[in-house]
Amino acid sequence: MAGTAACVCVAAYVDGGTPARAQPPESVPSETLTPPTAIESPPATYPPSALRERQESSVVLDVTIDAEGRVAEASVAQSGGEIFDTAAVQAVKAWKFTPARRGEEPVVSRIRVPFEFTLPSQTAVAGTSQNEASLETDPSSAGPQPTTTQADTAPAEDSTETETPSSATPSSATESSASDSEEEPMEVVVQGERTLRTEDRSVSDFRMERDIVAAAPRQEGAEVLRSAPGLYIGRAASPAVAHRYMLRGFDADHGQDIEFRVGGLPINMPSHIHGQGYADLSFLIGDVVSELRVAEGVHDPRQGDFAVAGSVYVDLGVEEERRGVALQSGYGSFNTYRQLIRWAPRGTQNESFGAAQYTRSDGFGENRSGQTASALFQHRFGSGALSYRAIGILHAARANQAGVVRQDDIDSGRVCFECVYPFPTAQAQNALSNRFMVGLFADYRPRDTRDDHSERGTHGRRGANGQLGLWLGYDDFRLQENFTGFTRISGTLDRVAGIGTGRGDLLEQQNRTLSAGITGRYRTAPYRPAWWLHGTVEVGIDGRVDGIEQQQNLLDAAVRNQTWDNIDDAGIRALDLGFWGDLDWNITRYVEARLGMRGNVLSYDINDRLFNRAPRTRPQDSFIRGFRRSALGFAFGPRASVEVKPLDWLSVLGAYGEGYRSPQARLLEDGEDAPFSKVRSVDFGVRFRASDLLTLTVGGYYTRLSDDIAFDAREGRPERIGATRRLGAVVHAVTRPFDWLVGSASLTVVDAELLEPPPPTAEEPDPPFERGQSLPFVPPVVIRTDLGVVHTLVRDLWGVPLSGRIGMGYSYLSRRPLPFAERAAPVSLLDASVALTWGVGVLSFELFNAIGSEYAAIEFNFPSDWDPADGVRPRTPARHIAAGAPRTWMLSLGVTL
Amino acid sequence: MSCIEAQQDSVQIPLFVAGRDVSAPVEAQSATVRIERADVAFGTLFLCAGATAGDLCDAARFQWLDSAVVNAADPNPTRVGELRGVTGVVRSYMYDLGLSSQLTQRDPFVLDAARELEGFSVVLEGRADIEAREIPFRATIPIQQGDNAELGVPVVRSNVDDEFRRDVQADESGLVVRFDPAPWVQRAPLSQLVEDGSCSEGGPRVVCAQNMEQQCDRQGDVTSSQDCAAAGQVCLAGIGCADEALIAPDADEPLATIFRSLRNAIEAGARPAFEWGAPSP
Repeated sequence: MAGTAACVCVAAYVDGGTPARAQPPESVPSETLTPPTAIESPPATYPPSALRERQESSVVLDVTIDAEGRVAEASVAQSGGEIFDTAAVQAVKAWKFTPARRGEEPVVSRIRVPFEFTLPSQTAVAGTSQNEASLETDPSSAGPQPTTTQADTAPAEDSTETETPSSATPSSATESSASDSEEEPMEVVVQGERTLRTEDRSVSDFRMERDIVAAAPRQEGAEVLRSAPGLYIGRAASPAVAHRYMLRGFDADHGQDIEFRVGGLPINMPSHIHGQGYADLSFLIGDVVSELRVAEGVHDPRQGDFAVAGSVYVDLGVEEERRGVALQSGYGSFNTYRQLIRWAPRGTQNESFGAAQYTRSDGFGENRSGQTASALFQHRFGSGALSYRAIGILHAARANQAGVVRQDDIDSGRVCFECVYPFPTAQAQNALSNRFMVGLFADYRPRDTRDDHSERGTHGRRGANGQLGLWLGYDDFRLQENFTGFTRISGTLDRVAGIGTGRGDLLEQQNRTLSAGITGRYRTAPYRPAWWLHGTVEVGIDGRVDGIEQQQNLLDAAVRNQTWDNIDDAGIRALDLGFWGDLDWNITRYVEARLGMRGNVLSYDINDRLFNRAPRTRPQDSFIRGFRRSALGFAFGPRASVEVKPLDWLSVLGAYGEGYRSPQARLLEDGEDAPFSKVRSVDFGVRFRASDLLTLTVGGYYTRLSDDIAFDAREGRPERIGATRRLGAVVHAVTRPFDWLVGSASLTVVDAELLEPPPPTAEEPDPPFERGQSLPFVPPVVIRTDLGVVHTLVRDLWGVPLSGRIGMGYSYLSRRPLPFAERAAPVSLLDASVALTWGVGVLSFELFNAIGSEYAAIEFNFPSDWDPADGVRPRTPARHIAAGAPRTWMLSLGVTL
Repeated sequence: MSCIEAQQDSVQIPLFVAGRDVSAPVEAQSATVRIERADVAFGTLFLCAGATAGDLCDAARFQWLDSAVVNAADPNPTRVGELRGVTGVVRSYMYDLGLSSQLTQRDPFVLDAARELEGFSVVLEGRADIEAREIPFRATIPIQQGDNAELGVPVVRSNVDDEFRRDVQADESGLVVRFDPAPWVQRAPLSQLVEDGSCSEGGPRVVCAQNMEQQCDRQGDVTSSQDCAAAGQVCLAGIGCADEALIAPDADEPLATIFRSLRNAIEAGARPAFEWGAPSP
């Protein structure tokens, strides 16, 4: 398990320059014996559950090293508990040695390797990016250290007395083991790095570890997000358009209410033409997602723009047992091909890998064919106090889209559920997405030492840590979408039929964003002014600049996408500078309090090239169209939380925070004090931890948003609707009752209301409003369960064990209110998979939407006219749906070498 | 329109149409008119949230996409269908009179009601007493999109100063749209039909002298005369003897002037009354 904040990954380390040592037998061989020397020693993993439970342990292994330097056998000589034993054995099996030698001849040897799992000091904890979470390897402190006097005084290189079997046979090695117990061991200290910042700041912080993320099958990598409580994602358009997200009462559209970071890179795009905070996670490859961290609500000063419903951090990595070169090929329903290549060199850190995936499909129903390709790479390098992590994302996707169809047309049989209207303007719907991001993060983390407690009461550099990161991104988005049929009239061309009217509402949206950003933070070493009080202080900044070019046009698909109206044409230069401070203090062992604040300055330079367009009927010689303007605003808010731990297995957590969402720049007036959507969030609840058996979280929350937005189908983007609030509760449970079973379940219940009438418009000068009015599109109940079973079926099948895996994921969305008194049908989705692993091969069968639910991926209510020849144009809102994927299967074969 | 109105309820309001009692004569610019038939092809109808229908009513609160022939000379309401929409305030309306303008075609779409009236929006028949002469007339008037008007939007819209406002609730029992043909007729210069004249050089080729039709030559001499009354006809200025005055789009003057007046009156003049509530039996 790599790279999670709270599940601290600790490193077992053997210094390559330090040979392992073994006690010589009483009879000294005639030839010089050279002990084995570790040359590759990938890190061990501190069992996550043990870390949570703050358990420490020691394990002693007997390790047999063959004549080629490989670990031939590792057995537990002294158990430290099953989970620690497993972690130690798994780690050591991946080690490589220079074999022991008798004279010049390599021979089998056996050494004793104690692992010591020690907890970090109480101080603090992980960060918001995975590199902060995974504890680094540092040979100076975590490496194998001789612990006996003899080892300390006798340099390994000088040891000529290594006990090595006289003959290079396994039996000899076994025979020698009896005497090993008295020999000088090579000791490996596995120590969690000093945790530097409390990870769980709220009862609404959730962490989905790899076993949960990998339990259920996923059609796409981004669907790992479904495991988070109250978070649902679905495909409403095509693989070239971002998913639609819902999180604990927020219809986050394409990301407007959720801050997304993948490997520390920010994914949301400000002022995107298709939606503020547009966040396309289609590039994610589920195979390299190591952990998902979801901070629901706002309570962490590191949470930035778009953290309204919360923040989602995706950590990438490949754990040791899956490392190597993996090839996977799959074929499934609707002529879907999926190819995956993953490269994760053994012996390197879990964070280092490369992966590429290509998928193409005819898609279900009509007009849904598409192709996507993604490549992700990440590498951690450097050692000591400074280490670096490089990350890159490349993604390209193009797909046709069926758009939406009217429910009354489905009911009348005019169009089928998964079909598209038979007009060029409907069949020309498609999307293209290209994205490139790279980042380089430098982590400063001087190794804490075990006698660090002697430093209590002082300000010291020990334990201080920091990070500096730079990133660069480019995104190209183009969409052709027609939600309304034939209703648009050109604002530019003559309003006669066939010229300026009735050519189909095929809306073209283009958005190109070039972004660069920086992030930096520094956390002090622990400060202990009193025996009952200690804590740290963190300061940080992050910033980004964005150059955005965006257009919106009407196209006539019947005549090679002839442009028949220009609606938007704007260039935006935006800067977002954020800074924060954070205190993280323990008051006795029972109370941990954090108090922080965050401020953001947002600046906009807007060139709205079509604004002030002259009406068609007026001469245009009185002015030149366009509206250039600038605006700047400042958002500021506190973030605070407190955790009370009256018992080892019980935490009571409360949190409050104020966050913001930046404005859609094109809607700003000149000199406007950049209005921000201000969010206030309160979370309160309890968390029970009963070892691995059960972790249970019960919490409630209240969120108030000053200026919410909701999707407007006519404009194809969100528009302002006024202040809203959510009142909800979450129950989340994770259980690992056996080594072979993991289960996760969550229930989120929310009441989402509009608090005031939406802003008046000329068309709707007095928007209807009733106190207690439900927000549309928000499901009051969201349920999610994940279940994974992995078990050895046959211990020896032609010399290789055969193991099986069963996975299941179930999502339920209750009936959702829609605009204009409509209600969407509930959504109930069951995904299941079965896989067999034999040696290096894996054969898997996945079934999605196993119960064959016919459901709408999205539902909207708005006026449209999809029958332009019937003589009348309907104008009252009608229910529209985009079909969700039907039952789908995928058969995959993979090998890992 | 915002998408947020989740709290609104769907409403189906019984829609009735009615006319006025036109048994009493109507004074119309020196003429006394008795209306004998007033058929109106009515539909489609939209009620809008904003104060200005038309461009600002892309999303209507209520709609009726059907059409029906309204006997505007009969004050008794007739149910023609249901107005469908959601609760909330309506401030304006717009409707077509059987001829629906489309975005995709230049020619209007002829709805059933207009087809029933042979492609016209309004058919008016009656008798005008002018200077002691009784002139029967028949007006057939299409109300459709003009060349310079916006396509795809209903032709007749409420005026901003019309006091049309209703907070429609879920228990709304009905809406009666009541047409009154009298104001339309009042604006028609029917007296022009009986302007007496005499033959003159360069003058009209047909003149009426009382009920005598006189044909004139270029020099202003009377070439023939005919007593219209003898044939049971009336003499119409500029037309001569005729069974009735046919006021139609392709009519000659002075009928064309009367046609335009009636068309303008129907399209931009007096609007029907919108009476909320179910009509009393």
